[in-house]
Amino acid sequence: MFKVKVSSKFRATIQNKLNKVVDAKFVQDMQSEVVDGEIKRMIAAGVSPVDSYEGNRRFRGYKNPKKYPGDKKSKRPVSLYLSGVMLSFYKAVRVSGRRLTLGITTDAPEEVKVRAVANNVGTVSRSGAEAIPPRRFIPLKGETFRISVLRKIKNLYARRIKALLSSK
Amino acid sequence: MKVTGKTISDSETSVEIDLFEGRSLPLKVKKRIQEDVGNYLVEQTLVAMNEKKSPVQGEGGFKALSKNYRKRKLEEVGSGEANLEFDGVMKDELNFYPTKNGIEIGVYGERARAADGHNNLSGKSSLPTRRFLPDEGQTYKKSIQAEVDRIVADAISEEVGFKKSDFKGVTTKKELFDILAQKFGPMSRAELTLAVFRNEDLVEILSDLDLLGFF
Repeated sequence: MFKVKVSSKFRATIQNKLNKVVDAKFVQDMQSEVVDGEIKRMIAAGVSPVDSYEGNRRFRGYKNPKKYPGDKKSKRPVSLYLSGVMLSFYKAVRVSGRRLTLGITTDAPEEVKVRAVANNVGTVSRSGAEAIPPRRFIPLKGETFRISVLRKIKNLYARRIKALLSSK
Repeated sequence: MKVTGKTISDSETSVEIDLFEGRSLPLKVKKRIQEDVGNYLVEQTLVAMNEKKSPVQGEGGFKALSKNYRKRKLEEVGSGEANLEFDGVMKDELNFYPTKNGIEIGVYGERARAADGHNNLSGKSSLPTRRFLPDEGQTYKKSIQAEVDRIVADAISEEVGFKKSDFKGVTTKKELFDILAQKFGPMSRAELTLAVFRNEDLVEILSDLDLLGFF
């Protein structure tokens, strides 16, 4: 019905066979039901929306909560939400009638993309030690979304394909 | 999806859920259902807990924290919300395992007793009940239950598959839905219709047989 393909560190492409599936309304529904209605709710709960290689269902805790997040936000859950700017760029975007992307938009400020990648894949210090642990919120190549997200996507496609084929 | 048993010990607070309800299914289908439903229930439970709501039908929202505990949690965690997350260990220990007839879901590890404290499955807890595991006689919320039914239907239809010959001689809408109900299990026509459109191969078969007009 659809495939999740990844060729970017901060965006996943959702692709289907049938032409004309992805229109403005479909992207709007993808944003409200999948991105806002599932992916961001999972992230807020400290749950990775990605079925990643590492296999961690929940985001790893802060190494030194006194230093970070300090008094800027609650220490738990680990929600990738400090100012909310980074996640505000997590969007569904139409590419063509058969493709759309889920993730950080290409028009996001460079520092948002850098921060997104740092959180998504993690960073290491000069000494080679882990600095920021990976907290996957966008799939990497070979990965896909968790079942709660996939179910929402699947149901959305089923409704859309029914509408398209039934109107013929 | 019925709760058929529960375990409360120092290392485990869990409930057993029957996912197959006596249905004879190939092992491959059973394994996929266990994996998909188990992960789905754990994820939905964690999201509901964070939103201070029970995933269990009829349990509603979680009661606010007591004044004293809220003060302590605010000081130590920076949040005074009744989301059952202090250091996160209990939620990290929420998991599921396959059983003969379905799965068991619960908290496995050092916070098992704390989980019973919140759920009161033992009937011995003095804490306000904030239930995130259904007790015997309870079910998950309707929206969660409905999606589990869809996961089961999809696993059966995708793993077992359809053939053109399954629909041989179908000339009426009723005949078509009778066959679909046999394959997917008892469902409303609206749910059966969506189950069809979630299965690409089936859509192709029905299109070839010119039967899509019945939807």
